[in-house]
Amino acid sequence: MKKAISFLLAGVMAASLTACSGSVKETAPAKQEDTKAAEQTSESKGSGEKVEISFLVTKPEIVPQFEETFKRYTESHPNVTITAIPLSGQTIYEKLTSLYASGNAPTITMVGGPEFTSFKDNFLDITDTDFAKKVYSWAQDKTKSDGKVLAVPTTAEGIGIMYNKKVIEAATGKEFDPTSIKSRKDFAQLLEEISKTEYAPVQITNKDWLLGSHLTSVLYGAVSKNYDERQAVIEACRKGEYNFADSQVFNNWMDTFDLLMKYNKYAKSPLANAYEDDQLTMASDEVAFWPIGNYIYPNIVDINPDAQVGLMPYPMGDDEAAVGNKEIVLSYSMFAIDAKQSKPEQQAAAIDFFNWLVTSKDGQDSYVNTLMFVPIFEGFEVQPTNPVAKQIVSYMEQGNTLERMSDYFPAGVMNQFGATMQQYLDGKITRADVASQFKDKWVEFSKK
Amino acid sequence: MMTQRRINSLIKQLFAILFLVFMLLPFFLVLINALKPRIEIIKNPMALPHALSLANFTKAWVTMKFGTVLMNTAYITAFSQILLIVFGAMLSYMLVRWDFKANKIIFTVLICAMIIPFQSLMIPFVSIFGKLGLMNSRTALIFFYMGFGMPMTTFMYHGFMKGISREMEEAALIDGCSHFYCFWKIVFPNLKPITTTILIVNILWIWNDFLLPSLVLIKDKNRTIPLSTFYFFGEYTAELGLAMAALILSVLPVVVIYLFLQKQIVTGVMDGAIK
Amino acid sequence: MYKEKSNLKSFQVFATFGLIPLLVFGIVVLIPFFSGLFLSLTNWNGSLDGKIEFIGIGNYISAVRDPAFWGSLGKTFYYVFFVMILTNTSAFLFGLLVTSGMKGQNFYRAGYFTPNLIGGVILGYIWQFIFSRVFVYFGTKTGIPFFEISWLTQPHAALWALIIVGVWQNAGYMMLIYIAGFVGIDKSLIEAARMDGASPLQMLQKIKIPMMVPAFTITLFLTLRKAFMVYDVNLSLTKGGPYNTTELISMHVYNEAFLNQNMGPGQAKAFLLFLLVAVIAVAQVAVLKKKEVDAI
Repeated sequence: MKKAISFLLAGVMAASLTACSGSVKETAPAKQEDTKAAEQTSESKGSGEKVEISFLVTKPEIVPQFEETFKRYTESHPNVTITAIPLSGQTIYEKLTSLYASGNAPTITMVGGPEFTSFKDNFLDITDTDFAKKVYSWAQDKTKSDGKVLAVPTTAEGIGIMYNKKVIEAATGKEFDPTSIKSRKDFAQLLEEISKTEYAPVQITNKDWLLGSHLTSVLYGAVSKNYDERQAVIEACRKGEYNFADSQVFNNWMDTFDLLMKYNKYAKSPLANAYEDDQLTMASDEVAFWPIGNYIYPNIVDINPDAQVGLMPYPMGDDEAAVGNKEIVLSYSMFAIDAKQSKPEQQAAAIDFFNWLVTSKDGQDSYVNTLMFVPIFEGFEVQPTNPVAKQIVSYMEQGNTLERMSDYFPAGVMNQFGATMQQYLDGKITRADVASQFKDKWVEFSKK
Repeated sequence: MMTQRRINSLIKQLFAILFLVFMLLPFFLVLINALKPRIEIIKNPMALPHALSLANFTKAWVTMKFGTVLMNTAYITAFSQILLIVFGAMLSYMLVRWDFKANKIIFTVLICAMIIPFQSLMIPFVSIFGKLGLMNSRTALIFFYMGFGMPMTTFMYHGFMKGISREMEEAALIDGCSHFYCFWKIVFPNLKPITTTILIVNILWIWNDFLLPSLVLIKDKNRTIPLSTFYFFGEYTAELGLAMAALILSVLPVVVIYLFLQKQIVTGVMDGAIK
Repeated sequence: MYKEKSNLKSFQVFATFGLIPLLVFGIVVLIPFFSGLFLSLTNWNGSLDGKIEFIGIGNYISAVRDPAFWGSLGKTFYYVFFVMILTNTSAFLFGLLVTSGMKGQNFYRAGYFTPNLIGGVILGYIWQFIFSRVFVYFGTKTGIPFFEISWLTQPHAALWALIIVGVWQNAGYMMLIYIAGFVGIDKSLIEAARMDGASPLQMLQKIKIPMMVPAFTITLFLTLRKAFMVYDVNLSLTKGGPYNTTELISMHVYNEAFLNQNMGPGQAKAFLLFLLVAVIAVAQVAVLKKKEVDAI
């Protein structure tokens, strides 16, 4: 009996399936369209005096540090609890979309430039808050929309090429000073010298966010020192009018990339190395140079507390005067507060949290020493002590920075740029293909 | 002299073992690496661990909040099962035993629904239920499972119920029992074999489901095992040993249950070998 | 069949047994399904707040014009084809093996079924580790170039990695269905054939395979459906990489809608997927049904 069942089931199913194709048509109109039901708004339930706020932390590597900071805040503000929502393998865009679509918007969000543009209508006007007024004036442009301040910078981050001082000195036998690399020529010479030793001159991480967003920022940032001219290039890209193939900056950027590829530790199978392993090799003094940002520094010292690493520019030309030869990309993501789905008391708590973080002594200490952030706020009494953070501060002070241009990319396109660069890295396409794919993807994604 | 038979059986055993190794080796490799620190894994992922250290497990347990996650998964699976069994059995009873004109249409619609890929529902699903504020609770998820599981459950009950004789229930009805009472007292106990099968099939589905909970359960305190594994990997890819331990933890509950109930599970699936 | 005398009585029965499950089913499955069908014909952008205008088949046109859609579909067909063939071949062989009366056959059945207990995400991560660490280590140590470079970083090999995991994951389940089929074959038929001096191969060809057509109907239908809709393993094993070359159709629809925020075209693609699965499933079942009749 039992054994017959599966056949019985199969028979019925098969018969019904065949019948099904005919009856879909009959039953389809029977059900009326029902999007009206969806128009009802969701009511959030009130919750006493205790305030619970959520915080979308988009830097996976420092979620525990954020949680520690929240705990410290709650100690002095016992009625507020802050929960971290980690990004957990999704992109910021994807995560925010699903959170907003499902009515679960985080009270506080960390966003990059493209997400800021897409979601700014949902953010609270914080022009008149104490903490927002402390932001350095040069950093305020990106946080504004229609003259209203909707976000504040999180931390100054540098993107360029990380060097391992110990490795370079062991390979060359000379003391290494990153400012001695004034152009790509100098860089090429040094790489050649290191390649003759047991050390690997370069490693290239093959992640799409690095190749498609962080490194391309160097390219678009170096097109000009002038803000308006850079914007004009972005505009031309959107319209498909920017000619990459003939662009000197693009070719310089690719030349350096070629140079890096030539000396890449993983040249044989350039997509095989895992990001985790790259951290390990840099930390354990196996490789000299690594295009990356200083955000990885905490992980490096976590693996090897004695690591001597620093950040230098991604060379943009053989000519010393080329824009980009002494500049690193300065990048900051932003904190914003939700205006649409959070209750007033949650918004008030969020504002109070930032006031605490930026102006109180405890808050500043958490900011600099727990989160290891580099403040873009005035009046910080606590200053960063780690060497790479200090380097970033000095690049900022000397004005040797490039704008993080991926902030102006249309949403989603950076993964496409990343895919293009992965193919190039893998030797599947030529420089001309890169130029034409960049051009096409700009237009395609600007339309959406 | 070796008989042909013995050679045959030897060859068969050889093949069987070879297949078994292919099916189980991945689990074994993950297990041995879960016991090692990161450096050792990168150096040689095929070596046995030097010392037995459960450090990765305890850390993974705490970071994944595995206790909560396990309870969530159990809670969601259990309640979805109860609803599916209760209502699926009742619905199929109506479909089989009454001569309503609509029955045929209902049954056809249910069958058709079985070939709708979830992907073609999910986009409107998210915006409609998100708009209604129904995304973000375990209760909502259980409700959704009840809806998505209904076609298959009803279908399996339907097939089985047709083969059950009506004598007993008719006797009870003559004695003045209501249909409802009669169903639960007399019919349902007779459905036990297919109920077991449905339970097994549905438990395996809901316990391991990923896409639906990833859209519905946003808050991390509500996460289920597959979700938590996914998020854990998003955040701790660098900690290989920890990640391996997390995998073992995720696999463990089902495997332990399987060790005890494997015979029932295998026959259960075989009997209703479907889905 | 019970008959109810009045409509009221009928409704009472319906309210007791059918109302709740059908209501839930309607809300959860039918409403999103038909809303989706409707919304795919509008300029809807994911939010239900704004004005929604009817734009006809515009979304379908842009879906059909998207080369990435066809690329993804082509890879999905490739994947489905090989997963179906390989899963069913190995499941059939497993089934044959563990119904041959060998020692410990219950143990092997249980062992082969194990991967089915575990969710796709977890299986994907397990294999990610195997492909990117164990294989590579094995390759570098032994110098076998086939394993030296991680499969997951080469487009074609990564697709095959997905296929292998798909087969590995599903073979045990399908094996159980075949076992049910083998066990269900009338013993007297086999006996009679043996008396007539049929060889094992002849028996397989002339009796077992024809009698197994119903089992093939189910297993092929199930593998087809599972393979077309695969998402979990795709996400955790390759995440569509390297450079979007292993983005199968489910992931493509998901990314189009939730990553690129193209809800309309995304939904249109989702419907094309549904139509495709429906047509293939119905055709496959119909063909095999005919074979079944012929065989008996």
